Amino acid sequence: MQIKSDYLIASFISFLIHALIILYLMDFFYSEKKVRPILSNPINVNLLYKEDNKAISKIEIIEEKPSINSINTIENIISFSPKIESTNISKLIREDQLIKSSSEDHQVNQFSNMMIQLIQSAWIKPQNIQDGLVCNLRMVINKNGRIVAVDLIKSSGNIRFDNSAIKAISRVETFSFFNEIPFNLYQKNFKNIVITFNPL
Amino acid sequence: MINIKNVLNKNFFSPFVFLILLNSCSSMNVTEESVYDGGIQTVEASVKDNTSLNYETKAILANATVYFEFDSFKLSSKSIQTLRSAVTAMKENSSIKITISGHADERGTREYNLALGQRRAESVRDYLAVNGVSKSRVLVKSYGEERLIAEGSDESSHSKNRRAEIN
Amino acid sequence: MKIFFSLLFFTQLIFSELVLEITQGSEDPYSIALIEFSGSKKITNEINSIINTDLLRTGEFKIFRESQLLSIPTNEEDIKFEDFKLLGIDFIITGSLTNEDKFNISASYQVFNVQKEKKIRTSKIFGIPNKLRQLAHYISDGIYEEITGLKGVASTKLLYVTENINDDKIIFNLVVADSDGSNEQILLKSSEPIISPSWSPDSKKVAYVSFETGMAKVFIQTIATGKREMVLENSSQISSPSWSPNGKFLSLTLYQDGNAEIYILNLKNQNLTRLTNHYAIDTESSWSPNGSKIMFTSGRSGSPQLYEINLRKFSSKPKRITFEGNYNAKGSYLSSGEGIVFVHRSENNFQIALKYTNESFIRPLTNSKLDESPSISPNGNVIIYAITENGMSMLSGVTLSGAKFRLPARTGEVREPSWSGFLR
Repeated sequence: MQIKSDYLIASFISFLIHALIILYLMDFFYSEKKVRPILSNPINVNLLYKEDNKAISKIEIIEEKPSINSINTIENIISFSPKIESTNISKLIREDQLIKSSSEDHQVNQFSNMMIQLIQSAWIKPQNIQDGLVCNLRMVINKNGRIVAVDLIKSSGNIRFDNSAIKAISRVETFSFFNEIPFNLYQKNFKNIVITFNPL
Repeated sequence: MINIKNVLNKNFFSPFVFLILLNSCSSMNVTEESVYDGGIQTVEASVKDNTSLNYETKAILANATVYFEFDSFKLSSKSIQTLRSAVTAMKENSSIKITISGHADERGTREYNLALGQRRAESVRDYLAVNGVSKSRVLVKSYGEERLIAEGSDESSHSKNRRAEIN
Repeated sequence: MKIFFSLLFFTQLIFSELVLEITQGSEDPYSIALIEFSGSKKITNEINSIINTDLLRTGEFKIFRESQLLSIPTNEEDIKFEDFKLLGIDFIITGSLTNEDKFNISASYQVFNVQKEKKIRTSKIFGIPNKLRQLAHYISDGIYEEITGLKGVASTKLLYVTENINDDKIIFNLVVADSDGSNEQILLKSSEPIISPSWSPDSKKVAYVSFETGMAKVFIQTIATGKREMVLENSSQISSPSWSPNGKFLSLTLYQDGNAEIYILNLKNQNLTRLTNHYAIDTESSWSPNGSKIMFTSGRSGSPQLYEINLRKFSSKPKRITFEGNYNAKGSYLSSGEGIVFVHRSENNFQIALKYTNESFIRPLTNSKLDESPSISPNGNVIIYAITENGMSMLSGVTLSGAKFRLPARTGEVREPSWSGFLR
């Protein structure tokens, strides 16, 4: 009899664990966070273009940044852990937010850089254009990465230069990696973007 | 049909006949044969005859052409030698008046070459003046690159064009 | 009889007509679909072909004609934008022509943005049946402006000199033509050279140098009437005329001082003001867009270079503005005032170059050997100049974006181009 009840309890517990696993996999426990407001703040993404060998060095600099950030986050985590016992809940929450936002910043940087790369490679620099021209464009992008609208918000003073910037964006058409961006990150940072075309 | 053909031929050449007639008249008049064509008038320029030459002068100065380096109006020693005979000829016949026309090769801009040709002609006039030939006997003008003597694009053609001619 | 006369002159005009050849487009053109205009075939064929050539010549477009499209819309509502997106087309042009009555034609055209899937421009214009070219050029300009944002120059005019040999006689013609070299009309016929033609700012008069009197003299001729007058009749040689932007003054080169010097003539009261005073050659004067400065070529540093003098500063000295190379001449200002275009000698080749005021280096625009007399279009985007090939001179054009075209004459030579201002 005991053995049977043992078996009963074991199988019941096993059933529970399996049910939990299945339910977890079916997102039963996932509760959606509050929806952030739709109108998000545009972020400034600087497109830096430099000809020939200098372009390579610029890209390197951009790539180094994320790694520095990630080192920071790891350090943060490491520095925070010994202190866990002596902190209270609000501090913990704050720390949690810090970690999340720095990893968010990291992600934002990462995706911005991918966007910059795509636009840069699609840009054909117009001939006989003076140096130092800068123009600003606003892009509205949907969740799938499709550029829904492009508008010139600040002219460089040279129409051919402005046109070349708009042409570059039109050529890119879709940022295919947008599917990798978590929805809330997209909503906050990538739906409405201002690009500064600023070749050096 | 034949009549019309004749008329056609006659009228086709009429502008040129007109020009030739005008030339031989040596008049200063500018005639305006206007052709109305949708709001634009065509004008024909009548060309003034060159000053008639004393045949004697022509014979004496027939070879009086001096040459120059690129972008320069300096007289070379060879040029000065050529001009010596011109000076003597002018001094012997004090009534002779001459025209010096300056030229340039085709390279560079037309207006700058016009000014360069002028300077070349003036160099010759100045040399003559220094040697006793009064400036009042000498008319100076330039054709720039408009009257090329040699048509090629090589240096030998260019050097033939960089000249001042005495007429 | 009258028909024969008009035929005669017609044949004479064809004799030296310019033939437009487009040799290179810009690197980054817009793709546009040009749908045949609806209306009577005789008229629409001509209009379509002129618009096609005008737009191609700007170098900014890759043009798809109907035979290259997946679907051809018959009216605004049934444009299948997907079919155009598949071909990578950015804009669609449609239009129609109707004979309102015997004396009027009305044309309407529409421009559609394929990405946005909507119409971005619709215009209606009225014209006259025997001015179809003018109508077509106007439409081309409208399309160009809508897509690029730049003002079009298809409706502007070119002035140039042709040289032909007729029965062993050399004939020089001063000619006005459309911006594509068509519709030539002769302003002056002469057996002596004509050089340095220059448009008045209102494009109603031209000034030029003619050798018809035996030496270089400047004439001003009114285009519509053919009436002309010699400038400073009692002086000796004069050349290099250039109009001030307000049309009141003419800068000239006079030779009376023993060397070429620049003077300014007040056209109203015939007052002459001397501008340069140097024993070197000073010529090829040209005015800045606001009339405050004059640029000219001077040999004072030992070789031809460009100098600038400020007219508003009393007793200001000429300032040298070109330092690269040993031959820089025939400068003219971009209408924006941002830079200058001139003839520059590099090694042994004479080329057309651009220099921005705020940059210290020269940008060559052409790469042949004997380029001369550049003239800038009023929108500042196209430079027309003369090139010499095989000993014959012809016109050639280059846009700032690198597109190239040529305008050789069918027979004879053509040179000394000058671009008019905007005619509207």
